[in-house]
Amino acid sequence: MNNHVRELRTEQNWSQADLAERLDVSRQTINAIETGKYDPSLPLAFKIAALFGRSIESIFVPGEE
Amino acid sequence: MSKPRSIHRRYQREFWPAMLLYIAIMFLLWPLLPRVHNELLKIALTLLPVLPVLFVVRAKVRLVLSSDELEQRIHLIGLAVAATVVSTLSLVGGFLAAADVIQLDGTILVWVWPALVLVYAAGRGWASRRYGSSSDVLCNNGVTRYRRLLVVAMVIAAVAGLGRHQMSDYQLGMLYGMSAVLGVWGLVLAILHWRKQQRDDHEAS
Repeated sequence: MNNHVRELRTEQNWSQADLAERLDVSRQTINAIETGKYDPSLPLAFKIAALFGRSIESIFVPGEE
Repeated sequence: MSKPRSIHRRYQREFWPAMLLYIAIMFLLWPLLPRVHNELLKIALTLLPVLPVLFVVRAKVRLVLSSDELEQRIHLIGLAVAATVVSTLSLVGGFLAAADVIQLDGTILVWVWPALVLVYAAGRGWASRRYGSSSDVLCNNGVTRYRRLLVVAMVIAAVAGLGRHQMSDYQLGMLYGMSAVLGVWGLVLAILHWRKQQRDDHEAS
């Protein structure tokens, strides 16, 4: 799955640690999501979407399997 | 360096006192066992190291339960690797002992827990790297590795120094040797860390 988390985060001028703190997860988790190495669970995806004020499908897009 | 999360700070606060107590019991009180003749006291002293281990287990359980979803997955992979490796080794050892190919003493069971902890750490490290991190989920606490190594080296040296009258030359040699190896390893990492910082400062200026 691809996502726009890095772009949205940099738009806000947040570091990975800032975003991690806001979502109550580790910086490692943010890095893994941004680099596409880990797909977040639905509750975390909803939390990310709510934080950026967007819908889930505008942030997370299906990639090639 | 990332700021230590509160769950990691709590883990360090809970883990280290219990671990230091375990080391102190093993090296300072356990050698007294042959001199204890009261049966109840002997059982109590024999099982005393289990008490701090239970606190270590509690600290780890609380850490895992408070971790985020990726960290929990990494813990799960580490535990799965540890369970698989240690149980397979136990099975191999058990078959060899049952067939009288090797002689295994019951005291080998003492090594099951350290073996699980070590392979669990290796499994976590492997899983963390798979998800693109250079640090371990247990060790990502803001304390650099060289500092941890130097502290552990000093603690082992202190235990050896305090227990030098109760320990055999072999035990003392082993502890001082471990302390020296960890100390040198910590110093090498400290020098590398310092040189990297110098380079980064130079590039930034």
